[in-house]
Amino acid sequence: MIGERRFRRTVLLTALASQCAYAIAADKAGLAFIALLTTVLSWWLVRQTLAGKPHPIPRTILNGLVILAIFHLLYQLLNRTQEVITCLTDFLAYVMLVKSLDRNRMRDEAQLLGLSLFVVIGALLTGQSLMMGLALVAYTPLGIMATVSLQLYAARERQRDLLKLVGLDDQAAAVDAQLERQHAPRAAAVLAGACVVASMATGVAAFVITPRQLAQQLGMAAAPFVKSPTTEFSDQINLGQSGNISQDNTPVMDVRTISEPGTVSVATGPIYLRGAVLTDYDDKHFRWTGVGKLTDENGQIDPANEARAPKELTPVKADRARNRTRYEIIQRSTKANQNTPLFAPLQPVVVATDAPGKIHYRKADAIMWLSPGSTGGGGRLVYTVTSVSDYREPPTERQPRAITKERPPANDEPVERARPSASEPITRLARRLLAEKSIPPDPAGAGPLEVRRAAQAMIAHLGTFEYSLEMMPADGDPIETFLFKNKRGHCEYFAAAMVKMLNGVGVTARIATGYVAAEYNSVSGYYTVRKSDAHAWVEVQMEPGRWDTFDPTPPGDLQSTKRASGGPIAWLKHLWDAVEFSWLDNVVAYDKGLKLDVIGLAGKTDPGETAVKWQQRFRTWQGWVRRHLPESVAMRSIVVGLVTFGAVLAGYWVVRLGGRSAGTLRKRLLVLLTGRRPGQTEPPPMPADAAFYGDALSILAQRGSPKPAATPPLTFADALAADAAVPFRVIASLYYRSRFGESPLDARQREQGLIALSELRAALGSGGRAQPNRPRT
Amino acid sequence: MKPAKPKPPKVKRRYPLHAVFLIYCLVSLLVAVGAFNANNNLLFWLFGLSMGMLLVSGVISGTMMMALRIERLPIEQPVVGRPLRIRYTITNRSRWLPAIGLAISERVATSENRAHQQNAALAASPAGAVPHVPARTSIIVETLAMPTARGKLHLSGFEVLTTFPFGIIRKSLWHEAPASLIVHPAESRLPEGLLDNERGNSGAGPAATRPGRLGDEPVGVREYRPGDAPKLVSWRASARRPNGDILVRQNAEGSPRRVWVLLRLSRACTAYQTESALSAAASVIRAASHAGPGLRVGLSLRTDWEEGFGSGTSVGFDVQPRAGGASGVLLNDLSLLIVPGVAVNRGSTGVSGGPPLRGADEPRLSSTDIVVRITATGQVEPFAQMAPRHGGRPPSTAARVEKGAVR
Repeated sequence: MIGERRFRRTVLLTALASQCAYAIAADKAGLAFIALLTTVLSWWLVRQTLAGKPHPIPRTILNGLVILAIFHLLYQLLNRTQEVITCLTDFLAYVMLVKSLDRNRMRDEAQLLGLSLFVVIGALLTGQSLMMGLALVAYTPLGIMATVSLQLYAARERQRDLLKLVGLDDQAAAVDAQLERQHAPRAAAVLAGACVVASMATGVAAFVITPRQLAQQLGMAAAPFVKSPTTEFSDQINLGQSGNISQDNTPVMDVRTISEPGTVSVATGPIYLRGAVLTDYDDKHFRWTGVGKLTDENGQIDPANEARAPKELTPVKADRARNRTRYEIIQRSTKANQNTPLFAPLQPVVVATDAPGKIHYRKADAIMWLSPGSTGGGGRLVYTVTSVSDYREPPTERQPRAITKERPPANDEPVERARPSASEPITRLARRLLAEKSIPPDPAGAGPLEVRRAAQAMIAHLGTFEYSLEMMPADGDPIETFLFKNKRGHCEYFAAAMVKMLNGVGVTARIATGYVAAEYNSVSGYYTVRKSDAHAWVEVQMEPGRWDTFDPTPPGDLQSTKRASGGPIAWLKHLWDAVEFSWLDNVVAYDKGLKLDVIGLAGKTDPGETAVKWQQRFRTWQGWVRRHLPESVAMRSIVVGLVTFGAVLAGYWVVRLGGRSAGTLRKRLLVLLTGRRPGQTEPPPMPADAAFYGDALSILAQRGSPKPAATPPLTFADALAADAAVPFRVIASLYYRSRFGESPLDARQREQGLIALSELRAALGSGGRAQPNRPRT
Repeated sequence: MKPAKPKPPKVKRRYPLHAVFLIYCLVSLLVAVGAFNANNNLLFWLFGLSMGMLLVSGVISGTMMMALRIERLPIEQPVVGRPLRIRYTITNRSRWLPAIGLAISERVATSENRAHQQNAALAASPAGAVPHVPARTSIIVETLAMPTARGKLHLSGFEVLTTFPFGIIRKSLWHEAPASLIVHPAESRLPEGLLDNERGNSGAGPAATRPGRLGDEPVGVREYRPGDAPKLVSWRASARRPNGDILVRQNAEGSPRRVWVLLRLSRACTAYQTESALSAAASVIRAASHAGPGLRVGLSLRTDWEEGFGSGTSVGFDVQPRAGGASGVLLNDLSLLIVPGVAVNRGSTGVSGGPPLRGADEPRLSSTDIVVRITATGQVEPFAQMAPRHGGRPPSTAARVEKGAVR
């Protein structure tokens, strides 16, 4: 059967799409390659099977491969080499690979489709890139079509099995021929297409209207299933660890500069987007200690920011106003249950966002963040920030005062810390470097120029080191190990070493972590910032109130390394990134604002007017739920799941009971769907003088031989046993005469019909039930 | 008189739960929890898709099942070892929606009076699959089963089930259509020429005709009487009658010969041997029936069982040869009344002839009878080994049988 080959090919492509989606999401190119090879092999095996040849791969080998996959899963779980979701999806993907080599029966195809669904779920939990989205776009219609077609071919296989069971194998070809005559594969394909459209449309509708952040509002949010990859922004630095940092090219941010009249855009090089400032070093860790930690709620400065108006963070002198640049920053994904750092170049002065919630600002470090749960659906966050490149604090705060940590400063008060220091070997090294460049041993006291020279001397020294993503374990101080032993490391080592060397010669410096935007996309007009752009650099206090940025990590010109090369390939790459940006902006980051756009309410209905009442009601209900739900997140999830399931069940019963009472509606629906016209009754009206015909049909139906509606009475009589056929034929003849004759039956004919009816009854037996072809006794 | 409407079989819609549906709901629920928890829009999309598929599945399968009309056709005579094919007419009244992936299954009811009634057995319940019913089309499908033991078979109804289109939701239509069947014994191969006519040896009169045919010379017509064969109805003559009476042809009467099947069963034989004997007897009866109305078949059964009537003597019964469906009666008797090693019931269904015989009486045989003796081990013995008890002279017809020919 030709359709079967097409169906099996569809199943294979469905499996391949799911595996590719997972391979893309988990960045496992090897898996995609193996899946491709297995697909080719599987198709060859299917052709062998359809040709009636024996399966060339022994089942023992396939079972052994599955056992190996189980051992691999156990190994991964026990050693925690990957996330649990990744381990499980890996296992399912491997089993899929094995299963695709064993596709003899329709049950195997069904198992393959089921596995593919779970692999897709695993992929969705692992990543959300555009490529994965494209793989899903391919997977969904293929999977639906394969599932619909499976019903047809499974029924056919079952029919063949039954024929084989009773020894009628030779009739299997007739079954196939009948299906071909009926164009069954084509009908199934058409129906599958309709199912694809209907399912996708319903799915999109559900996607649009499903309320986001329900879990947060119910207080059920738990930690995400999958931790982010290693290369991403962090507000602390841990040195001395072993292992490798994997590069993750997932875009996290899109940045562009906005020209303003009367200003000069200074964003000509890489943009250093600061997210955190680390000042305290202790036991291999650089932390953002003291005041202004991201989890600290005391830094709130702008309650009025809820009004969505741009907020001036700090006054800027008129003469500096020319050197400011306005940036639009779109964070593609944020964590809803955590503080969200607002990345911005140094020094931010004005920030504005449509996101609800409060913006927190730490003036001393010029760090901003947003309260938890303040971002929209998918964690997308859009804000604009204006930064001044050569910002200098007002002269009244020129001299820092030494304070103790016991007295945290007020929010607007400048942070003053104890003078940092460094270990003796690092201090000696720093002094030697200064001496080599003829720089005074106390550059901070000599002025900003000497401080800059000192910083450049440090950078020059570190420029001889090797950049590596391999993390070097250290027995002692990891910075000393880096400076004197390994002389290779990643950006955090370089930044930490420079800070400690500057501290050793009395210069105040700090580590800034965040992202470096250097990859400009000429198609979208945005800088694309990826996780691999996460970076750590150094900010040096040139003079009180003025900080300059230095990047000691070689090579220094990040823009040249990250900038895409020219030519058509670069243009295609930019085009791809632009499409991906659109995908993430419109699908992954779909939120309330987009929902209003989709359903046509954007700009027409003010949520503050239309939704306030519902919001208040919802909050009342939410408070009630929170009071009555258990404390544990898991228990809350279970309770909500059970309640949802019960609600669905109750809805089902309501619909069912309602359907019974709404018989008229159902009948009309029946008419609409089945094509029976209103008023049409089946069977046709019975002539009054031939009522014995109806009685005869009733008797036959009670004996298990109802007359099919499409069968004429005399033809039906032929199918009856001889004893019953003769009287029924008499009855049928009289019925015909009554229905189509010119005059109704006379008394004698009616009597004859009744006699035949009694004979029929006798032939079928008065007691018990009789089959139609049971002989008369 | 108000015409009585034929009572249609009761149809119930059912939604049986199955593992796939539960797993699907559980996975969808987990996806929803994950989506809400992580605010992952792609999970929201997957959740929306799963809900959409559930909705589409319910609508399509419900619409499909509502448009179906299924009727069971008269059931063919089931025989042990021959596939039981129960046919149905499935009409898809929908304008555009084909029915795909249907499964039909009959439900076999448990029999009562199990101890003293021979109950049929099937290798599996009758089941069938219907891959495709095009829209606005009526097709005939069948369920298949393999009877493995003779006896009575009760069917309580049949169910049409589908999991279309996604295999998630099961929907079924249960048709309450009780029916009782009698599964006849299996077919055995008989020696060739077992029932051949050797009339010349018997010295029959000039009216004799070939076996299997009654007189075929039409001598006139007469009014239909109950019991007349349908093939004898003269439709042309009936149509000419103004009052609508049915007329049947009246042919010259032949002289049908009698075929006696002497079945001898013993408790010493195994159940397999007894069933073989019954199969052989049934095959002889069928062969006689197929030969036509020129042969009338009778059955003489003797056993040495005691439990049947408690007399302590051998029991059995005789059914005299007669025309008009007698073979069916005999086959029913063979199928139902004999419970090996337990009882020979006396026509509980009212199909057998006279009272049970006690002792070793043999039926009255005439010289023109064709006699086939079947031993308790299932062997068909030549008549020459028998001596007639009545009738004066031995019958001239002997079955040419090879030992062990019955299989």
